[in-house]
Amino acid sequence: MVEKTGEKDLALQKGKSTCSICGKKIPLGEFYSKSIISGKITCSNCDKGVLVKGDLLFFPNE
Amino acid sequence: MFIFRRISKKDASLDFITGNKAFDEKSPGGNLVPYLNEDILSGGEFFTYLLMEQTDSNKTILLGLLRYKFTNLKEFSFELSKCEVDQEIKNNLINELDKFDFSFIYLSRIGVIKNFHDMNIGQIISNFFEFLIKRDRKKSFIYLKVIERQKDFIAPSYDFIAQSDDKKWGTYFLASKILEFD
Repeated sequence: MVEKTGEKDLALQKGKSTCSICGKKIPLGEFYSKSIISGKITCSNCDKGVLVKGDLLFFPNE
Repeated sequence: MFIFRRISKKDASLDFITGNKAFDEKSPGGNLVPYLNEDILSGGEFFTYLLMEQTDSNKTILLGLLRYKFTNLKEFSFELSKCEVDQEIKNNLINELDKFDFSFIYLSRIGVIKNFHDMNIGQIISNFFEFLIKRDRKKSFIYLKVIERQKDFIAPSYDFIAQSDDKKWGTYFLASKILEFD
């Protein structure tokens, strides 16, 4: 059986960044959120996107 | 069947009423005409996406809307200049952002029609938004403006970097986060 290399293997490699919430190393190529102020990093599993509650988000003038 | 797609001219007359007076002020007719007019499709600057349900009888029901635009450091700096922030902090932020080749994205609106509130559709749209941004595989700086009463609804990964006052809507906050990868 021939072993395949490439994207799957890359996804298993750990990057240099660590999630500040769960403490896990974030795989290479996987997006994470970063604070411009504190530099705190949040992995995609711990990140809630934009909204944590509610169904509306807007600035009324726009 | 559920569909997420860009707005198109044939969507102009679809009903879109969130039940929130301030949100619906944008569209007094309760339809998508103002959103269509400001979309890139009509020469505007926004990308508008719709979450819809297509019923078995081929009826289309609009559930929610997402709207954002690509900006740049200059536009973000202008928003920052309207806020009360120490000049040194402003300069540090601008210098930090200037070091990297970020895509700048302003998230303008996420809205759900009133019949579907409290079903977490806003969260689905929010996740879809981040997927759209990540799909380009570029390091991105996302920012948005939020009025005071919505501040607690924003996920903790967003920083509230500045605050300002609007004549009509009072205190609002500029929030942001960076999306990147190793």
